[in-house]
Amino acid sequence: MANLDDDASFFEADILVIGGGTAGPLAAFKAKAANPALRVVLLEKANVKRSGAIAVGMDGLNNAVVPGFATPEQYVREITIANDGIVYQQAILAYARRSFDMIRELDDWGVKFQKDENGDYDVKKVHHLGTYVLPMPEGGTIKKALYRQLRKAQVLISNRFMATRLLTSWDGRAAGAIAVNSRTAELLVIRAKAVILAAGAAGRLGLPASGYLWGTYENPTNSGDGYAMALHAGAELTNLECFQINPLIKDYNGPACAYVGGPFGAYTANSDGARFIECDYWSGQMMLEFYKELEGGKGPVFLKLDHLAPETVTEVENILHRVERPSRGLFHQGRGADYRKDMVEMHISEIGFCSGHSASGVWVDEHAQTTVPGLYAAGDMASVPHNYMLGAFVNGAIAGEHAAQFVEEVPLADYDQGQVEAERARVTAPLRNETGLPPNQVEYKIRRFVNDYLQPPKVTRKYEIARKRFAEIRADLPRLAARDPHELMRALEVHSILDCAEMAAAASLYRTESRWGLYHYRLDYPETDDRDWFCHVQLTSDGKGGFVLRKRPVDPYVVPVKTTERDAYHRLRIPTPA
Amino acid sequence: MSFAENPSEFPVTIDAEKCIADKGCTVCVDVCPLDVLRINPETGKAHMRYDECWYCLPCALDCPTKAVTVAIPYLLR
Amino acid sequence: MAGQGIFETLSADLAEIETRLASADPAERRVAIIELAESAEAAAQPMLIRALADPDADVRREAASGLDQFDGLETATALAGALLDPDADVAAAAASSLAELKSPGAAPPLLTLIVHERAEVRAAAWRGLRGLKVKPALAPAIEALKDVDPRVRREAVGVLAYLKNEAALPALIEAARDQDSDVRRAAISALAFAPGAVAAEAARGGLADEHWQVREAAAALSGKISIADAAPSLMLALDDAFWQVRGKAALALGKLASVEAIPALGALLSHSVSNLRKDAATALGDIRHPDALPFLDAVADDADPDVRKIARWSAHLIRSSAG
Ligand SMILES: Cc1cc2nc3c(=O)[nH]c(=O)nc-3n(C[C@H](O)[C@H](O)[C@H](O)COP(=O)(O)OP(=O)(O)OC[C@H]3O[C@@H](n4cnc5c(N)ncnc54)[C@H](O)[C@@H]3O)c2cc1C
Ligand code: SF4
Ligand code: SF4
Repeated sequence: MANLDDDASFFEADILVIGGGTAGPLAAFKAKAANPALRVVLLEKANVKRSGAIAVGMDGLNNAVVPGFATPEQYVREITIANDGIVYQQAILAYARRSFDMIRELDDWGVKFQKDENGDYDVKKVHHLGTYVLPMPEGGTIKKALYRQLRKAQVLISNRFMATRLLTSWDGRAAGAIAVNSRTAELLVIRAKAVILAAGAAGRLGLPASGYLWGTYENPTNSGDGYAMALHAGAELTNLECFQINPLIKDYNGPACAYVGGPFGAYTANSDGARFIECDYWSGQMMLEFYKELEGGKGPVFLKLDHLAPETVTEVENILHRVERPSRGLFHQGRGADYRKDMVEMHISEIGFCSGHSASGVWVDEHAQTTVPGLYAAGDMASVPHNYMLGAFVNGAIAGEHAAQFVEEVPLADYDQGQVEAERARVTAPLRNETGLPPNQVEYKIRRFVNDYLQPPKVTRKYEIARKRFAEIRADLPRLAARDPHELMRALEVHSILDCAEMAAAASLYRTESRWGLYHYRLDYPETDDRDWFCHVQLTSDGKGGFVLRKRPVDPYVVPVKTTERDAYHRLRIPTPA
Repeated sequence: MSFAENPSEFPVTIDAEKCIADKGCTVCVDVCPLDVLRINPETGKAHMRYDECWYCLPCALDCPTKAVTVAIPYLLR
Repeated sequence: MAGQGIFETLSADLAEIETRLASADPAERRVAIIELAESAEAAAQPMLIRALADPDADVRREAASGLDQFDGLETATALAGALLDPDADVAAAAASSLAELKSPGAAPPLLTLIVHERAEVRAAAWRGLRGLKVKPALAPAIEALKDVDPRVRREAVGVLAYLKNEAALPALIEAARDQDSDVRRAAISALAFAPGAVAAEAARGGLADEHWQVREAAAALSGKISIADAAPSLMLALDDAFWQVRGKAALALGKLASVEAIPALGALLSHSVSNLRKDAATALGDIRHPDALPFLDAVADDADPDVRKIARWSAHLIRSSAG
């Protein structure tokens, strides 16, 4: 173990990318491609070979904008409607315009997308209006392809380092970051002209129903550190009350996934075996319908494949049991469940933050810039809604390219050494504690309270109690104790989880209306209130452990959405009169 | 410093006969996102050190000798 | 500056790996090959190729897998050799790496294997050739549609489908009547590039196939090419024993805007399988004809939300296009 009072290792880079999952590798690669002379560091808590949401690949693109199937403008319109209008369209358009080129570039790198017999992309229609789903039955090799590109581009890869805080200059610019090694507890200070945050979703916010801390929907390495770092660096976060909640295989807690089975004819059904979902997209509206069916006596809810031909089920299994979450097959096998005759029981996941599936995150513009100069964010933690994997790739690329330009024009920013000392004290505290609280217990307690009080539907009084409980736990944090560097990483993750829990509570209380279906369904304010709340909610740190919240008007649309279009879409959702 | 013991089953097991960690292999330890695997310096074989498993399978898929078996963690099984 | 070990080394020490490749212990050589493949260095390619001659099958397999990142004639030649490896796993690894080739220059060694005595070798060679899209593969691929082994015929169809060359049309139409259903299915799907009349002819034949997946592919093809000639046989397919085929036929009739199909499609709106009702409702909207309105209005309150959603949407499309 490193001597805790040692000088930290120190490195000067041009661009520091934090998180080597999906967006991060593209950011680093594109920065190097823009200017090979730059020193680009890719810092990863795990190992970039197999890290993040796509560690073992993905089974499809949910939002491919392929010419002949959809246009960027159509995509922007639909994402706008699916998010109840509260979007920054410029950023969605920036993604949509590069979506197809990114697919082709990944294809060149050896990432495999489904093609028809003639070798053309086999895009499937799953949503009602547009056509955006491109399956990846052989999508298991994405990480290998990315890793090879990173090596060829000579990106400086640093594995098993967890970034804990950003450094900022006196005038508020990003100046670098501090990280700690999860095997040696070695401290690392990296100075950089630009920092790109790509640390993924906040996946360890709610507690899975199994009670297993690691049985999350998200890759559990994504503990919300990116949100916490952005917050403490002074960046604005947006719409954090728009939670991520997903329909998942019960107990297994992974996706089933309707986007895979859908084109084959599988669907989500109630206990009568009948479809009940009105909404097209994985969205808060859909989750609200899901929730009501579960509550309404027609639950449990299932994924239904038993009406499909055996040949078709085999095809679906070959995808579901091989890529993305390949242990799905193992799970069903353990229970003797067979898609051919058994419906798969589904349930509602724990809550999290993730723009990949909803609309929250660190605020970014169409260049992936946050509100802190020199600080970028991309992927699930950045605020571009419904971005998914391809969005992470594209916005990572956008961030990397823009940062490469930015660093040409600026010197390294100076930071106050006091920041390093304060962080050294915080980071090493758990190792110094002779007695104290084990990280897993503190984490369990926070996440159980998140379930008890924050899981929608949201109730004001419950939220107030939650804030009290969180404050009590905050007072416990100095007692966190770690026996080794691995536990130290877990202890520091607990800090991020608590930060995220408090942000989730504050943002939810601020928006006194209901919006985005189940994601922000407040029983005390059940109606959507466009007059007062057709806006983003921006959250920043007040520098004293609290938050400042404010409204940000929705920018004028670059792709107009006619009210008739909006209404037509909403009309689709009118349920049958019972 | 010590904590109270709270036993749990390890979801990941490694076949020591097949494991070639003693020949320089560290593949499973490298690829585990949760960093829960280690090589035991005494036996020269890989083993699970922390019960924090996402049942994601890189360890099993990438092991060159197919020595790794992942079970779904008991609480979810 | 940074201490050692903070970053992965930018370039692997190939000389050091070389010494481990000389180890007497096959497991050590295997670990070295894994690192070599991961290094992504251009200089790793000849080393991997040499390792294909290693006495240990596991080392050879790892080398064959690692060569998936390289392209060109030398890689192809080496992998073509490994395809003949006595160890089945090595051959399988070589086959899947061959399928990653992209440059036309990689074709020659594969073209020599398409006449190999073993069918799996021929099939793998064709699979490797598919992505290269080279003209010299055209005539032999047409010939290979007569191969005794269905796997070979299936891969040859893939090669022709990627080439999209009209000279292959007669042979593909022939293959649409192959004795193996996989080959027929592939051949029918492949004909999406054919001129409408030719594809419609093949689709017609396919719709009468004994295997439902072939009939489904034929219905899908009709929808893709949107040729009016296909309508009569699609109408028959609306009564297929498999709802999957009926659904694809319905969607195809929608694309053809076949007004005659409206009553039959309307009848499908009361079928018990909701997926099929959905397809029928979609098709009725695509046809954009007011005759469909009574049918659609009747299911505007279907028990299945997707069906009523689409029924309402289709009715909306018809009404707004009339207005
Ligand atoms: C189970 C599952 C299924 C999905 N299915 C699909 C699908 O079918 N189609 C689709 O398009 N999308 C899908 N998605 C969404 C998609 O995978 C994500 O939107 C996308 O991969 C997010 O990329 P990212 O870079 O933001 O995060 P990630 O790829 O998760 O990367 C974040 C990285 O940051 C690292 N990190 C975290 N904290 C730190 C720190 N403090 N310091 C250093 N590194 C850190 C993590 O280890 C991780 O490697 C799915 C997601 C999941 C979880
Ligand atoms: S990957 Fe397999 S062989 Fe290598 S150390 Fe792990 S268990 Fe052993
Ligand atoms: S399944 Fe995933 S988390 Fe579990 S040990 Fe293997 S690599 Fe690690």
